[in-house]
Amino acid sequence: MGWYVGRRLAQMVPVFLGATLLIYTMVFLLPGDPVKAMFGERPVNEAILERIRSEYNLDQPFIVQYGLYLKGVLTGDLGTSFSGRPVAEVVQQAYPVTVKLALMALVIEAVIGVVVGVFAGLRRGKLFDSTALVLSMALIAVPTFVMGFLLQLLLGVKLGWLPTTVGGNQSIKALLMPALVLASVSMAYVMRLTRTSVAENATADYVRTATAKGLGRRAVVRRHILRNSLIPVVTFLGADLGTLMGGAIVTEGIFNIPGVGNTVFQAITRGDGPTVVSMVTILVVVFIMSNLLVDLLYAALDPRIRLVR
Amino acid sequence: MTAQPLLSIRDLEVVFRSRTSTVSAVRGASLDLYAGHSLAIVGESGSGKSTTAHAVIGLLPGGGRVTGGSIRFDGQELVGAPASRLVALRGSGIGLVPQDPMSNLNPVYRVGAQIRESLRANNVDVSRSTYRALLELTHETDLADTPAARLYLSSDGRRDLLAALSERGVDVESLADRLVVGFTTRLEVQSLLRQLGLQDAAALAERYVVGASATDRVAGLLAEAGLADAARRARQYPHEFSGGMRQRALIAMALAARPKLLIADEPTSALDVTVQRQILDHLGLLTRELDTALLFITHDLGLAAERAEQLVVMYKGRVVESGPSLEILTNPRHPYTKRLVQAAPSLASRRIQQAKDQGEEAAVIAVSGGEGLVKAPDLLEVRGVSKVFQLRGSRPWDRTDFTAVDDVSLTVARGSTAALVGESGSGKSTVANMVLSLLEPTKGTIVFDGVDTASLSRHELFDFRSRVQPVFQDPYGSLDPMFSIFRIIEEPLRTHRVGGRAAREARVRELLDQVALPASTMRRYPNELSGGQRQRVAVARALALQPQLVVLDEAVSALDVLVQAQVLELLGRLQRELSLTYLFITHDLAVVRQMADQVYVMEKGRVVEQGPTDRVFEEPLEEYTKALLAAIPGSSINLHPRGH
Amino acid sequence: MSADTPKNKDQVPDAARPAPPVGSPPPPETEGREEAGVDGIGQVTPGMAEKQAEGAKAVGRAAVAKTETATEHFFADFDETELGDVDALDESVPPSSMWRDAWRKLRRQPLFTISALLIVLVLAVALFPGWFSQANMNACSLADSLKGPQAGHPLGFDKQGCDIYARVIHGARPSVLVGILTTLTVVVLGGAIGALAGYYGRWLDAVLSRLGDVFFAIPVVLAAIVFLQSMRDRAGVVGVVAVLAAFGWPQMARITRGAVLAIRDSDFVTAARALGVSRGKILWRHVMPNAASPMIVTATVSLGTYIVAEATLSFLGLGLPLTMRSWGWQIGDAKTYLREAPELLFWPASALAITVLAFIMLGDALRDALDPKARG
Repeated sequence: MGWYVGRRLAQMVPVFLGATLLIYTMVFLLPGDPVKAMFGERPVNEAILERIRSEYNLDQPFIVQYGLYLKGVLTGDLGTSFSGRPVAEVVQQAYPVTVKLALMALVIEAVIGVVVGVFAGLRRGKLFDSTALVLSMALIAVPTFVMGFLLQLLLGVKLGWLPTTVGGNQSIKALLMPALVLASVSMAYVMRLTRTSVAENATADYVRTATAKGLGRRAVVRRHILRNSLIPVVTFLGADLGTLMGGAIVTEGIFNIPGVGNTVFQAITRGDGPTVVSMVTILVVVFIMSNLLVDLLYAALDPRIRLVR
Repeated sequence: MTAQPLLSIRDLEVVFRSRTSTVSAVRGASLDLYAGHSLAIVGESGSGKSTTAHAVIGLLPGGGRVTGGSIRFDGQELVGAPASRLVALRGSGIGLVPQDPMSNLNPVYRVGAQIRESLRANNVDVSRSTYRALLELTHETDLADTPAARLYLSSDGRRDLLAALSERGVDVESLADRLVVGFTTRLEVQSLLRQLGLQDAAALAERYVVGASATDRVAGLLAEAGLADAARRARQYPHEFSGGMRQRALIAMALAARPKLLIADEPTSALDVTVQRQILDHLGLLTRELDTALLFITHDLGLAAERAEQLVVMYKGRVVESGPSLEILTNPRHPYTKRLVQAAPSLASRRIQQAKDQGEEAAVIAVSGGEGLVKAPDLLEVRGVSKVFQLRGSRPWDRTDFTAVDDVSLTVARGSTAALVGESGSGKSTVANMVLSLLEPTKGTIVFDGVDTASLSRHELFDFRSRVQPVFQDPYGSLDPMFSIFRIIEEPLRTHRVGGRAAREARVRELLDQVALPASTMRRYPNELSGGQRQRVAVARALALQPQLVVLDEAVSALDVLVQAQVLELLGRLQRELSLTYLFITHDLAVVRQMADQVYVMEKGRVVEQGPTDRVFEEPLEEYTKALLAAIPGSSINLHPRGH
Repeated sequence: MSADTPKNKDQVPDAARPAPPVGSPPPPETEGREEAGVDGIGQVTPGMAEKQAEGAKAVGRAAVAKTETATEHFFADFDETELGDVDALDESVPPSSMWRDAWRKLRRQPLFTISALLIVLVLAVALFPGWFSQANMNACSLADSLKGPQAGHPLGFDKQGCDIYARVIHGARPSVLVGILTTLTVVVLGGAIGALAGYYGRWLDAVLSRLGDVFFAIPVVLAAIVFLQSMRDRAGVVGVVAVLAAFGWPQMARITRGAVLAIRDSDFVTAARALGVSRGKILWRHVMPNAASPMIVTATVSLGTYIVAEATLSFLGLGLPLTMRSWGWQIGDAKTYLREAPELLFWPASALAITVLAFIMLGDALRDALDPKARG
């Protein structure tokens, strides 16, 4: 077990380095002068530009810049944004609400997706199943921002049940609507995965054997079909946490949530490279860690997965 | 006496409906099975034998439905019975030992937990507290009656009893083995102690045998099914069990609630022959002991006759013949049964033996055309070949060597058939892959037609490939499903640039004709053909380049008996016509008898015995060979009880 | 009935029976067993070693059986079940390939019919918008701002007075174009990388898999925003397709790798090796066609999701140049007037959703037809 975790962590090092280099390249190496962009259309003294460039190591060769950045990250220094604020402070401000939002979305998609998926899988081909299947496809087909507007219009404006935007009010009630929107696509995937898994397991040999033992239908479903079917679902949910956090840009924009997505988006449009790179680096770490978690979870749930190799 | 049958099936009709078609799987089948008796349903795949069994226990797979007839079990009608009655019957009335031990245990639960489920589902409560309470309630004193007789030795009780006995200076060595937790009852302990001459045997038994916990009882059931170290095994997961052990666990599970009828659906066809024999022996023993009726489903006529008193032969959903086993075997009446009796390899091999015993010429019956060619020069010579695989351990630098093949030598004479026999894991297929130059030996040399295959250049290796061709076991996996039969058989010709388009097509036609398939087959795809037909296509592909040596790796093992006989006959004919040399790799000694001139028996990577087929069969030298021979189903059956 | 039954029973050979496995239960005393009775639960079960001495009892039971259950030797009428040739090929059934089978299954699915019709319609609109709308989508007059439907303008006008119907029709091309081009790139790139990783394995697999992880670790939309922001307006269709494909290929590579791994060791591949077919040819001729099914299914579904991704970018004002007013851009434009004129958002959003839905439904239908296992 220890060796397995060690090996997985070792595999993550190149992925982490590669992903940060990639994002760093996209932010700093692509055409366009980020420093000039800071000042927009205003005329600037070249000497000031030079000073700022050297302050952010932008006068160094690219690979040195990246190296210095990496050194900073590994020593806990996320650098300073172009606006002069330490990035760590920005991170502290932005992450909590996004984590909260992502967790709420995760709970919503897990509960609804699994419940609907189980019933659909057990009644494969029946009306409930077909309806759920078509609805799941619709959820995937309707883009997040359209879903957001629809809910804003319906639940917020027409019915007045929930606030239309979040802003400073980060209560559960305020975050409920954005969490629903954020969860919608993943919910469809969870439902479909559960459905397939349940339907597949329902015809497994060991389920027939359990029935032959004299277990009633309920016990067979609960102990044998569900337990085995939920293994891939739980692992999907684990991996989805990282995806939800990184995928909240549009949702946070629509609902005006001051989270990671919004901050990154604004930093991108402002051309605030240090903030973008650091925020994305953290997202990458979260993504990688949630994938490690999934591997461990899988091993814990399925005794066949030997943690060697 | 006019006893009622325990199970009585009359005119059973089972239909499978899918969205597009309706298939009659069972058509008017009838049979009777009396309490404590055994009956085998024999038939090839698709005969409806398993469907009949599944209908009895109400577990027809999706789309299957009983559309007519009646199934009476223990006086109750099961056709149209409410689901609750079936649930009540399963486990406690009818048990099922399924076919494939690999897929029938739930991989995420410990084996013990799955057996305990059997007990719980059928309200077989063995927990100590319940029995204590029951005892107190009834003030039970008479050991021979009810609860006390069912009190099992617990692990604590066993420990304490042994301690108490050794304190008194009793030799507990011999006793320890006979006290099995969760299995040995108070009565048995009492009589064991009495045998030792202990005066207070009854009191001791009463004091220390107070009923076992469910965990102990599960261990007892596993021990009963013949599993060693049962208590530890019960805490393991199915993937830690071998196939034979899993099948034992499934038997323990099926018998846990002491059903009156046990359905065994090809319980051992996925296992090695020697394990198969052990398990069937044990199963027979337990069912006789517990007076459980046995409904045995098998494709092997020899096995059926050996294991059951009555036979029911099914063909295309109908019962074509039924009656006492040996009567059917020796005096088959229906043409289908006659064919089956003729083809069953276990019986055929037996027939050769008995014919020999009676001084007849075995060659008349044997399929192989290799007689008299044994002294021809060797085409293939394997000299001291080993293959070592490196297995990764849990830590990155851990490497263990696994010797799959250990110093194996064999020779195959031109035009003859050599058989390499062994059970799974014996390394026989690794030898095959090395002979085919698909795998490099770690040590030793393989000489084909006088040339060391390791020394072949790229070009020579390409040429070698046209002279040595394989036919694999799985008829469903060995043909590319995306290729038409024409492309499959043409591929070797095209790869080796033989002839033009027209010439290749003519050759494909000729090859199809050689394997007795119509020319129109070439427009078809593998998924449209049966297993036997696919295997014939695989033979045609192997023969396309006119090879000298054909490596038959379990080539007929997956086929139904009649089809198997047909393919074997085809192989024999082709060998005679094209003077082919065969390396025949199999686990099935019965088939070897019909095919081979020379036999090599492999066990754990080594050749343990070799010699001419007749010698090995008649005077086996090694214990392992003897065990293999004894494991051939039907080897005990006397086919000519009244002589000739 | 002959006397064979008991005889047979008797002959189950004791000698041939292997020794009891280690740890098998010991032989308890006969006395206990006799007394225990045959009552259902938990009855006494003697061990099997004792069975060696059990022969006599078995014979006894068989003898009883003879009187109790005098089973006749029954055989069916010979002509009731006709015996064909063993394993004969039924030549009356027309030949059919896997693809033809799949096609037959597909045609029977309503899901396929609906989605195929929709896709044909969308493709027609994308290729020949002129067939569907003669109105000029750029001829806008503020006088028509937010006017309702009228002759020649079935959906009315937006805030700027442009014909909504014409804009929705003309929005199809950029969306579909980006979807198809991205999917093709991903199939080629991801398919090739996944196939090489799965087929050649070892270090190549390790390197390619880690490379895929690197791109997979950064969310596609986020990466696209960063990239397109840096590119400003120079990205165009090629830029959007490039960035979506660059961060979308790992998924296809994983699917392909898995499929190739499953096929790599099958017997027909070994048979081809034994024929002397080269590795490259085996990969191309045997492995890839068999790995195609999951790739096709994934590609169809992801085509829909790439259209959504493009719409998201255009919605954010990043994706395609302003001259290509895709549905995403139109939705972004309409959001400003969400409260006063929600129908502005409704039409492009519906067109987008229906298009994506069609591809996802097609993917589902294909999965059912191509993968018999998934049907259950």
